[in-house]
Amino acid sequence: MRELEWLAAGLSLAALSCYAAAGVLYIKKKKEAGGAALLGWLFNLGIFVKNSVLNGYAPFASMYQVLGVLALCFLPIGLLLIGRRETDRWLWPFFCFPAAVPLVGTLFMDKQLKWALVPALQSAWFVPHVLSYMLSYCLAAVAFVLTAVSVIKGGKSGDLHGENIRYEDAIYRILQISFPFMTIGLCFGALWADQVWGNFWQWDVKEIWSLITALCYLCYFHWRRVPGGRRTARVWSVLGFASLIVTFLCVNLLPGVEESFHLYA
Amino acid sequence: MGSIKKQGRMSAACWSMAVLAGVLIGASLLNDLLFGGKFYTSPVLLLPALFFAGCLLWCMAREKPSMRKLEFYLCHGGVLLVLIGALMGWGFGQNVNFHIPVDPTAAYGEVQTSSGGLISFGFDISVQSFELERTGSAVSQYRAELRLIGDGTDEVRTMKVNAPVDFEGWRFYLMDYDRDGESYVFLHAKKDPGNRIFAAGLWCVILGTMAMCLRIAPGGVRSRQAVKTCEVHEAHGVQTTARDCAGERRDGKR
Repeated sequence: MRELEWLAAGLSLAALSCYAAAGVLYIKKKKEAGGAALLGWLFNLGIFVKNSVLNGYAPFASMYQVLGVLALCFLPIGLLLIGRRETDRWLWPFFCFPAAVPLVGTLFMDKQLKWALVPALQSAWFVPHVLSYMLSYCLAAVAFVLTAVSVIKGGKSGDLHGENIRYEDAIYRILQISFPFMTIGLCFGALWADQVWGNFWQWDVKEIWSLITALCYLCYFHWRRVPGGRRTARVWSVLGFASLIVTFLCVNLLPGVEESFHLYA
Repeated sequence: MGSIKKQGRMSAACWSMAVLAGVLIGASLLNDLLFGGKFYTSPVLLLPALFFAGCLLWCMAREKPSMRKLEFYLCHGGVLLVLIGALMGWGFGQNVNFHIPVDPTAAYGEVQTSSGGLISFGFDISVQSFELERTGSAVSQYRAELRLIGDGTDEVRTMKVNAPVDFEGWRFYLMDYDRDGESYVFLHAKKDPGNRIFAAGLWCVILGTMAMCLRIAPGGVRSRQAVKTCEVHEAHGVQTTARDCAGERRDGKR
């Protein structure tokens, strides 16, 4: 088991180093960036395969497994979004750096190399529910980093001119693809809950915060269509990401979590 | 004028969602402190929900009907179906949690609710057997054989976690078991006329949101149509917002 823990840590470290290097190389517009990103993704895939083989099920159950999957989502979805378009190549660092962040988490957490799948998770809804959330979370993270960078670059005024429009367009495009996945995750979760607990909605703390997250992003899309509402929309996209972090990582600190149906450990 | 009214509807929709999100955040943090953990079952929650539903209805009613807006109706109507399904379940549904002994000879036709009332199924049930599967020391699955005795029917069905049993409008869920002696199991039973409407609403929301976001997304059908419209407008000297057209053209070429 000790060797496996070293292997897990080594793969995480190698993948995150490659992702970070790829981000830097993309900023410097070096040709090697793509190779570094691919190498990082292969190390990341190694973590996924190791977890699958060890556990005997799709590794979407524990936080350690989910963080590995989350990091794995960035590059394929970046490839789909950016493709070979030269005009969008500037977006690559925004996919590479955030891909490294979940792997930093895996380095410092209990690896729980073998994790028994509880009966409630043995369902056909399990993989689609978690995977759609992971895809939406990775896109939302990219959109958040783009927002943060555009605010830093644009100063406090946040005027929608020149460079800012480029960021604004990219954020909108990315969230437009993130939100359907978030909706699928939320609705599949409800359909699954009806099958396993006898209710679509339990007012569970995790469910409430995932609804809050969806509502914040809905506010973003709707406010964006109100004349003069783009800055407010931007605030809602940041609030959306903040509530996403609460849903994903901080929900265990909230009141009422002891009665949550989403505690499996 | 129509545009101003549409902006008003959009602003109202924004505020209804913002209020609902704010109420949910507040409730999540203060539910135990201020409401004794019962906020989500109190009528107070109905106020922001009604505001939200009202805005949703207003937006749908004022939108000019068109097949090209199918995705709009799907995702907004889906949310309404979810709310209607939930209200029907709340108003007319029955559900009960109970435990029942693992005993082939003991059949029950009615069970007691937590408030002391009796719920009658209209048929009898009994648990014939219970089986536990383990992987190492962890429980990997558990199952029970449920016997259902109705008018002219007598059948035994296997129920598992994630695999409820349906019979004559009732649905039975295996929730837990007696961890000491495995002598009884915990079941949840429900009869909910809003269940299918709620589920249909969820599917409408999924399909509508996907169509709405991905059709308008760069390269999608609407995006390409918008580029053509801009080009036609420009060719005929119709004034267009330069930035909008530049954006559409850029998006459409992707």
